[in-house]
Amino acid sequence: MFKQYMLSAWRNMKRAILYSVISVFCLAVGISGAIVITMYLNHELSYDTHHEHHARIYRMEGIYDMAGTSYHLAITPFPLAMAMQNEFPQVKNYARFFVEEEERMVRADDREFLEKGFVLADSTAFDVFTHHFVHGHPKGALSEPNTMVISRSLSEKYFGEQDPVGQSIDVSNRHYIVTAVVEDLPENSHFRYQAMLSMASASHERVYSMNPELFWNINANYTYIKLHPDQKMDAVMENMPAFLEKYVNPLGEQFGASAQYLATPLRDTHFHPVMMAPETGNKSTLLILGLIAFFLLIIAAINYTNLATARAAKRAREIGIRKVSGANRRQLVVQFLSESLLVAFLSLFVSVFLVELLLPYFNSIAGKSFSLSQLFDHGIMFQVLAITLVTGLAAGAYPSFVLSRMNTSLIMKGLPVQQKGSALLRKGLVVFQFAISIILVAATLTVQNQLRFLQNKPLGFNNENRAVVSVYGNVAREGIETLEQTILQNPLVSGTTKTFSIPGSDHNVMAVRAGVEGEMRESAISVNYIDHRFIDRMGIKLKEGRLFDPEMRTDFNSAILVNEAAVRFFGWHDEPIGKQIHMNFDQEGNPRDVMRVIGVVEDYHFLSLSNPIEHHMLILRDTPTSFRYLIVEYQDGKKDEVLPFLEKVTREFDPSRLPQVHMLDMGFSETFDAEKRLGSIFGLFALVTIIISLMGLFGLSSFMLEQRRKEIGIRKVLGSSSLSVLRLLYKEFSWLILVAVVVAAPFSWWLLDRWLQGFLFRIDMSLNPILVSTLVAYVLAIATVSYHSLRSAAMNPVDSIRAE
Amino acid sequence: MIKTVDLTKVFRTEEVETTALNQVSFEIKEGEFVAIMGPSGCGKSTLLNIMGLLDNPSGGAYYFLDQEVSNYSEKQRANLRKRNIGFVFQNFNLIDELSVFENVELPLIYLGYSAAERKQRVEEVLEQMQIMHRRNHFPLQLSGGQQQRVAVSRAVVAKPHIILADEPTGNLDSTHGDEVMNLLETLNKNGTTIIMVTHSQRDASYSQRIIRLFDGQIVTEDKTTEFVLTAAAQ
Repeated sequence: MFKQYMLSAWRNMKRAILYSVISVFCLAVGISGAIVITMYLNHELSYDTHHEHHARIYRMEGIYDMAGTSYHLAITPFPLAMAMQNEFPQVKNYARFFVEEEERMVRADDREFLEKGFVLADSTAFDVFTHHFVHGHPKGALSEPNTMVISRSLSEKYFGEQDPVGQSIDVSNRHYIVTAVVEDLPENSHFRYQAMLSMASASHERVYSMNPELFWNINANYTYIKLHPDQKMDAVMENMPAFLEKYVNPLGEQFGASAQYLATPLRDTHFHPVMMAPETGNKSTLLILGLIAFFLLIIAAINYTNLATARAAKRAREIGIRKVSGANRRQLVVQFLSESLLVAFLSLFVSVFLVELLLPYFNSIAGKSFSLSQLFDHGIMFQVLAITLVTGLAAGAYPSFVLSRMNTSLIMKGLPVQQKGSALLRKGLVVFQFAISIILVAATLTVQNQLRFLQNKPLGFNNENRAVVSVYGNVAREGIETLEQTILQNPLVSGTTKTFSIPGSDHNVMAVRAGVEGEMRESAISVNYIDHRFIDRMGIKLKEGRLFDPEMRTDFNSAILVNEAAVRFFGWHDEPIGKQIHMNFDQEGNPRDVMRVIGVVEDYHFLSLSNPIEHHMLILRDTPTSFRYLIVEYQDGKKDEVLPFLEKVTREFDPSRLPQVHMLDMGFSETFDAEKRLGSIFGLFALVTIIISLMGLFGLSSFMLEQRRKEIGIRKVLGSSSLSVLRLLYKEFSWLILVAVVVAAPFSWWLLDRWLQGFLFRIDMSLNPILVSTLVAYVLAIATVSYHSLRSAAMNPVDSIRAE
Repeated sequence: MIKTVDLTKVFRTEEVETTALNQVSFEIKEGEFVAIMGPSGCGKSTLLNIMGLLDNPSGGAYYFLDQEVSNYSEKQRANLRKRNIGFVFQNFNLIDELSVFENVELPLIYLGYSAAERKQRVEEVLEQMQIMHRRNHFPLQLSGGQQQRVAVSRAVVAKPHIILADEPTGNLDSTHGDEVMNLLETLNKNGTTIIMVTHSQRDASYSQRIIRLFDGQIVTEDKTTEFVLTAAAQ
């Protein structure tokens, strides 16, 4: 019997080839989207599960309170791990990772590379985490100073196919011996590194690990704790107050700060966006993608449902005959569900090809590297088959219900069997499809508007035609003025300035006491160290007071500039000039530096646009080692000449490193990568949704007009013009779009307004995106139904009446 | 075999109530060949649908094989129908997507016959109906007469007790019409009860008895011979 069902389904599909192609293609697109998103969700939810003992591993995080401001950091003090192992019997082991420098200059096999992901790691890293060794052994691999373990791809990059164990690699001008090669960390690792340098290689004062009594105030490294089997982290955390009392609180009191530690299960770290954490995933994005996948499938399934019920009249005779031949309702339901399943699985087959086409684009916008072969992983394959099955059944459920319910005696009499309810439902489903399309288009437009707003937002300083040269290490920094003079000799360079931090990147936060209402109040403030040209060169405006004067020696050790936010923060509205800030306290808590405000600058975005403009102070320095960056202003349009020049002179200046030159605006443009991706993903799926909806509408309009052939014929016989027939037809479809707008507009508004609330600096929600998306949906919908409408309006009425 | 007592069928829409059958009572015995005649809209097809268990009456009683079935559910009716009744329609009602063989096979599938049994039965009937050479063709590739022969094959393949024929020659020329009528006559001679709705006096002459309906009521029940004689006398 099943064979008969399939045969009949196949022949039915062939007979109505246009509608079959539309159904299969739309479902294939829907399933493709769902497959890609399933891969993405599986990937995101599988982070760090490849570690054998992931359930027993935790990342320690610190919450630090300093002068009323709280910071939640993914990094902790060096002694924490060791102290926890000593104090808590539940702790089996620990591993610390320390990212000393973001980028490292590497020399291997007489070639130079600038590498990221070189970390200092404890030798216990291999006990805590699962690494697969290609060469060498875990035991003792990172025990000795100046030893390192590298990833397979790094090994291949440096040494080709040969076993590199025992080879030497220079990292930041120090020799390291390779002791082992491990497989690359999987992409779904929250913290990815390419090379591990033994922690013992780090200088004592850098790692501070020898004396657990010291250096609890410096947060530097990631700490991972592995528990004994069957032990609970709760038991550890219960005793944390006593632990803090013993190690941390005495020191904290000295600084007027406090700390507490949290343990985040390894599996959750990927979704735990705390400061200083490696790039995290975003659960809202997952939810949004999941919803998009769900809606894509629903919209595609709706097309099938709509076309199948629209064709019910055509299949009525077959149903009647089958019933007369003895089929009961259940058998008919099974038959029609088999048909929808056949369509769904054909679509799955087609979607494999679509996924192959779609993946490179999706990878580029999602920043992933999925491949088609992952589809055949047992877990994902099973989910995809389940999705296909459920979609097929959902799409076929209503048609099979409608078709199997048809009244046999009416069919056999040749009376119309079309039910009013199903026509209404079809219209409802079309409205739903267009509402979703309108929402997605409006979302795409809003995301783009917001990104454009952020990109064009006045930052309070000038970041055009300015390049940044990074200067690493105190030795190089000693000579920063020589480098500056060399650069200034280039006629294309209009000026330079030196700074410790550049806008858009991290700034130091310092504990201070500020003069507020006649007393010195404890507080924290972000700080930058600059040379005297910084304010002018950056185009930052002075609001009151004066700028730094290099001729006045007192400006170097007792003058500060503050921003307007600082004036507001400290309540200095009456007269900020001359107000005091004390900083750099000794063991007794006495300030080493007493600074006075000499001027107020207008607020500018010294942090990325994800952060508010907080209170900030600028301190004048003239010691070359105070500066990490040289900002170079050049003539408009000379970027392509100046950048190579800067690279060349920096290389000559410090031959031990590859030059690091980038544009000043990069710090801001990179900040909104996640939002840009979201925008692209919305755009992509908005397009897909519209295509599916339009294809469905194309098929449906053909049926709706076929049903009205007689009506149109009679109208024309009675004197209606083609134009008025066309108007009549357009009016009906226009209503559908209008209802879709009424449904979509409030929801879009609510959703997008909520999304925008997540930005500190945002556009005002306006009706424009919704109006534009409505217009887009309307124009496309009318264009789609025009093909059949024009033909219907233009037909000879005699044909349609005779056909009846 | 079939007995109706005060059988009534009323169709209701929102505003109009139409009585299609009004207290119709008659009986058909096993092995009879009965024609039902009457003008358009007199309730012939409604009666046939109820007799064929495609529809339930609004009132009265309907005994099918001595069971009162007027309140049977669709499922019960379907079950009874597929074992006992074969249908032949004016417009043949073949499924265009299925071949001749597959169309004839359909009732056997729903009766749960094995593939081998189905093949044997279908081929037997196609031979008998002299349409075997067309077994792999599709309905649209056949002439009207051939299509109706396929439809008759399908009606008899499950060896039903009764064949209900609704204007079986309505779409055929006289030669093909006669062919079909001869087929039905032969089936009747072999013991199958045949009930046929027709407008054609010529076709009605093949039956042994005519039930004549007018406005949902039986006006006469006469022997065919008498009717033919009367017609000839006029």
